[in-house]
Amino acid sequence: MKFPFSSYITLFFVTALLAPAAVTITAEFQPATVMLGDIAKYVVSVKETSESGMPKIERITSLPIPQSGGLSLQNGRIETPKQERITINFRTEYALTQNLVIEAVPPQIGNFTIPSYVFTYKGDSFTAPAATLRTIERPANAPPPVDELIFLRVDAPSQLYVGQTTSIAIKLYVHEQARYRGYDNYERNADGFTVSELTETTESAERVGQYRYEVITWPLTITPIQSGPQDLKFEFSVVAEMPQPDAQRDRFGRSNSPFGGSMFNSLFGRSERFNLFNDPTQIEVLPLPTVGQPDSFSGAIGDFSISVSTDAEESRVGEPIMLSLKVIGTGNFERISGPELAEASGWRGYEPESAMESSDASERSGVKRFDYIFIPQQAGKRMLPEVKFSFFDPDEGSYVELSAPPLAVQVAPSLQPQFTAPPTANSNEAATEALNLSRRLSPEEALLTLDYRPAAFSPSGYALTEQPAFYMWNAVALLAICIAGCTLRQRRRLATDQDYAQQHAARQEFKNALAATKTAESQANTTDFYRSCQEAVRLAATLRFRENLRATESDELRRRFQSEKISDSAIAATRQLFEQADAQRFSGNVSTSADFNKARTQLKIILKAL
Amino acid sequence: MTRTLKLLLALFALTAALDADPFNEAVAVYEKGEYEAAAKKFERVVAEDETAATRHNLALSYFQLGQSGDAAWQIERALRIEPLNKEYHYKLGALRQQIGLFESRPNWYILGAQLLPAKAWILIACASFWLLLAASILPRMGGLPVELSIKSLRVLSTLLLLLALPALWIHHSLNQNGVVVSNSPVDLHAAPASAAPASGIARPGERARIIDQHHEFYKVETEGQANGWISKEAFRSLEM
Repeated sequence: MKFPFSSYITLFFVTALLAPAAVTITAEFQPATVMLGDIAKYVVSVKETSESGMPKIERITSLPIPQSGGLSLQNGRIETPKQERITINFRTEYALTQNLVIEAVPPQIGNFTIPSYVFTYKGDSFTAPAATLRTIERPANAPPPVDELIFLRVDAPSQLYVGQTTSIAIKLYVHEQARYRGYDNYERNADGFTVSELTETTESAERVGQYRYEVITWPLTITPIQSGPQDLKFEFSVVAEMPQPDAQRDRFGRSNSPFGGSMFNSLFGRSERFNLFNDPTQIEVLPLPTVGQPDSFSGAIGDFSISVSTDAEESRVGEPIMLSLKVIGTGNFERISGPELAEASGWRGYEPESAMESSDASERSGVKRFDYIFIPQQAGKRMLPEVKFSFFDPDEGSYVELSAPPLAVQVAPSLQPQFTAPPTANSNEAATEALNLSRRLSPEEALLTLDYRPAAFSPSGYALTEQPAFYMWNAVALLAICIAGCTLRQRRRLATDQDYAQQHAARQEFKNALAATKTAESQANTTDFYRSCQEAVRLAATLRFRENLRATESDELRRRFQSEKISDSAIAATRQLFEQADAQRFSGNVSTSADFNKARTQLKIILKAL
Repeated sequence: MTRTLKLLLALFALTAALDADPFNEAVAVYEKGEYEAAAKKFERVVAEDETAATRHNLALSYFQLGQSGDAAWQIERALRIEPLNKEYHYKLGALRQQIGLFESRPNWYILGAQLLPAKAWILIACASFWLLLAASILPRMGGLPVELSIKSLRVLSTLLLLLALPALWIHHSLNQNGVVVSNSPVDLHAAPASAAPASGIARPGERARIIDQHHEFYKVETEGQANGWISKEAFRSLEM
């Protein structure tokens, strides 16, 4: 049986992918030997290697480290995992290393061993090997311990009120033998406060005990947001150079090196990173008293004074003026809002705009200005509203209310056309005007007064154009005009056109003659019947030839028909009809119904031909 | 005896019910300062029988409730019903002043057009058109002499037609108007969608002319010359 080469390749990759990652655990103290008073690092390293790919990161949440003879372990942290990729002879290995670093402070001289212990990582159990820390006695010429070389302090008050903004200082003390290089991480644990961001530092020198320190200070402002004891904790990850332990130093820690230890250390010293914490600091935060709180209090805490001014002492109706309130002093300016002013008669006021002018970086001191816009509504001497501002004085523990008296402004009438009230029924009466008995309602009064007399209203709009009756009546109007026009036109023609009038008369007579034939036939009146038939034929010829042929005889009609090329049958019918009529007239015989039918048929032939 | 008493009581109850005019009830509630309840009652009255007075009173109720946009619409509507009511004009001016809008009095030709309702102008326009047509055509068709009476009729009908057509056009234009009923400034959008960028701002109670509409948006031009699309929830037409 033979497998193709591609199968081997596939098998290789599948095997590589399924291969479990190898985990290596190390535990050690760095350094393994320290002087009493110094701090060592207990480092547990978890290295995971794999050839199939970079192992997934899973944070180590806890380590069951056993106690070891009073060795104090504190400030544990996990360093950022390190990822490596190494390729040797076309084989790539991926490595993920996590370091858990805990500060170890030995209480005394001796050896401190943390025995091996088992912990769980990614569901599997691993054993951390034992590690031993050796502590030796600090020599007389040794540099001070690390916690005396560099440490952090916070200057903060022990008591504050909720909402009270205050300045604090974070101070980093650096021993003169050490060199501060900077910080790369800053964290705070102050849930009960709002804390300002770190700003520029100031540097100074200070003596603490027998040592001299360079002090780096970060000014901050904090504002408590809840009452009760509140913790304030800061952590800095600081990079600094520490003095060499084997340097020759005097009893004050100064170098005895002939090359000048300080400069030498600066050039060749080793930078280290330290996590520094301030001592546990707790501030008692008190709630603001509710007793004696003025209505105008809006959260200002500190020490303030106010000044009130206007940008003009005179104005016109409709022309705005600005009332400015300046709050001057020290306190929580960011929480101070413009006080609400009472409504003033004759003025329309608007919400204020605010502007802050700080006199320090923390913005706790300065002037905050609130500009209120007022538009006068009526002319005359008008008083702006009184301004009241209150604050809580934390030093005195009581509220203070400040007030500024109402300012007077002379308001002139508007240059615009007056906004006039509707005239009343008797407003035109001069006597009433002279006595000034009527009073114009102000806009406010007018907008409060109802209308008590509802009048019936029928909505009309354009609905009319959607009704069929609208179009029907318009059609009727059009039809009437058309009929009237035609009638008038016919009358005019009858009056002016003689031929048309004759034709019109002949048409009427022709209709009458036809009607008479029917009447005579129904009455069996032979004489009238034939006479009407002859008359109808003559009138039809009159209409056809536009000549008056009312008195024409049979022969002449026949000749005329022949000349006009009327059909022979019509000519024959005419001759026969007229002969029968003559015979009837002279004989006086009564015609039968057959005679009537025959004559009517002949008449039809003639009229059809004409 | 008991039956008679019952009948009397029923009669009294009926009389009381007839006397309880909803309009007067709403007025009484307003006078007690219960503006919200008054507004609801006036709304019910106006739903059954729209009158200018009810619209006006509803406007005042809304104004007292701080709903300036609705108040402006109601009083504008009252003025559409009674365009020559000077008191309403004064109050509309006062209201607009209170909400920060300029006073704007209607032009004489708008008031003139509103002297008569659109229905009357339509009838006048139709009648004058047919009269003018008859007075122009019939004498010519009948060959009649054009006497002074016919000439007067022609002039009169022409004048009426010339008055009625612009008046109808003004009525039509007024129907294209509306009012921003929102109680706070509203964004106008560049397209008929809330997500479209804002192209302007319309203030509460501001008048605007409807240019177009699409689904739930009107395209309007406000009296502040802002152009854009506004939600129908924030804008109401004054069409009658």
